[in-house]
Amino acid sequence: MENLLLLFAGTVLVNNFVLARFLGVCPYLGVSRQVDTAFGMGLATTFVMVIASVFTYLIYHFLLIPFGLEYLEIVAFILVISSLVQVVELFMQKVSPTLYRALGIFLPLITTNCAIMGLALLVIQEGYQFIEALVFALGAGVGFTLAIVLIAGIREHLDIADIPYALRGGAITLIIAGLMALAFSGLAGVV
Amino acid sequence: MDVNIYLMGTVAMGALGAIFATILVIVSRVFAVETDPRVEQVEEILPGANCGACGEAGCSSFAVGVVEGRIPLDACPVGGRALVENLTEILGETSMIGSDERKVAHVLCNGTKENAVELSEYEGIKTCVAAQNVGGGHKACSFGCLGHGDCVLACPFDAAEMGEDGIPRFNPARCTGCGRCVEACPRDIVIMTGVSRRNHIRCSAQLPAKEIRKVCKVGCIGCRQCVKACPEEAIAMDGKLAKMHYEKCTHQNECAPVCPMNTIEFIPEEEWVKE
Repeated sequence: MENLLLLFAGTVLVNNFVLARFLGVCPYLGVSRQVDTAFGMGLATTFVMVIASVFTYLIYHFLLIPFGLEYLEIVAFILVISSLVQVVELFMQKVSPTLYRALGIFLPLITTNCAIMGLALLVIQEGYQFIEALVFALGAGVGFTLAIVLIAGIREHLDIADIPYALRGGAITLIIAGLMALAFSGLAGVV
Repeated sequence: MDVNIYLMGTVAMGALGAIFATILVIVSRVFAVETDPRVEQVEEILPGANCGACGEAGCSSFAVGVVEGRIPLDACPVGGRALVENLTEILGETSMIGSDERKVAHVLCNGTKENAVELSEYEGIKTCVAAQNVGGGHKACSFGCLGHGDCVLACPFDAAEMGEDGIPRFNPARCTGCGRCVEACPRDIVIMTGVSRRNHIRCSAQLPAKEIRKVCKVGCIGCRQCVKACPEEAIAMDGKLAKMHYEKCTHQNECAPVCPMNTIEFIPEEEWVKE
């Protein structure tokens, strides 16, 4: 139990997917203009991460290993994740239109993100058990949400700040992202 | 070289793909969401630029919004008037223009450069809102048209045009009654009224007669001549100003000839747009 808590906290803060592993930087910079949308993106990512980790774990251990096809893990995972998200999307549109609208375009967008694929591969690489993989995925999602909501909050304030002309827009965002990564690196080695 | 390893991989991935494809097909059938067929029809006639100028994420979400009645038909600036007409065809009665009569814009002021007294010379940003914010405007009449054309800019259908005399003209043939100009006017002197209306009291000034005479040659002095003259009692006093109640007016034009200030306009037959 303690191990799982440590794993969770470690994934959220110390080995944060965006700020320490530099996975999922694209939505981190692209969808962080407003806190609302950033939060939606975070939720969608967490959701897809948890589901994807479950299914890729099962596929890997009960299909790829028995047939000796570990070398096909990337291809198999792409297939699994993308079909899975489509199924979930169809399902959600019918069962919960509210949630479907809340996650909106982010759900299909996040499917092909490196953070998702990275998570699936990391679970295999680190040799996690099923429960550990679940906690790891949840931590990764929460960590991503934390990072993207934080930068969205900062960027909302940047909109009204007096920024030198040359640094406006993308440039200042990259600087902020770098500073945030630096701040999070202070936690390295804690867990 | 073991050929088996290729065979195995191909078969396994093929099988995996086939299984997922089957699941997807089944799920999409089972969980198919019934959508309004009109959404698709609307989406087909939209420009498809996905420019976001309507404020929606793209043309498809605009289509959904229009069918739901959440977005006004004229919200798409790219499609313009032609699109509004096509949308009206598809959506039928839900059209915002669809009441008994088409509404068009009129400006209730005739304070042209010649008629109205200028208080000062305004050299600032050429919008009415900006001019209004500098000491309450450059015209002596604090109700009159400032003439910088915020309504013209706001019009998505090119129906408004700034006249050389400093008063905007609205082309009733192009006006869709969207009301953007009404919102844009900082002095609230643009109104929407039925396209068949011919008599208009072209003044919005709530000023006593003495003041009016100082600032404008065609302002309403509140003499009540028109109120008395109207056989339908369509004109009533609203404070110091005569006000037209369009729903009662039958275009007998008893009012315009008696107005000592020539404030009341009567649109002649040839300029009047019949529907």
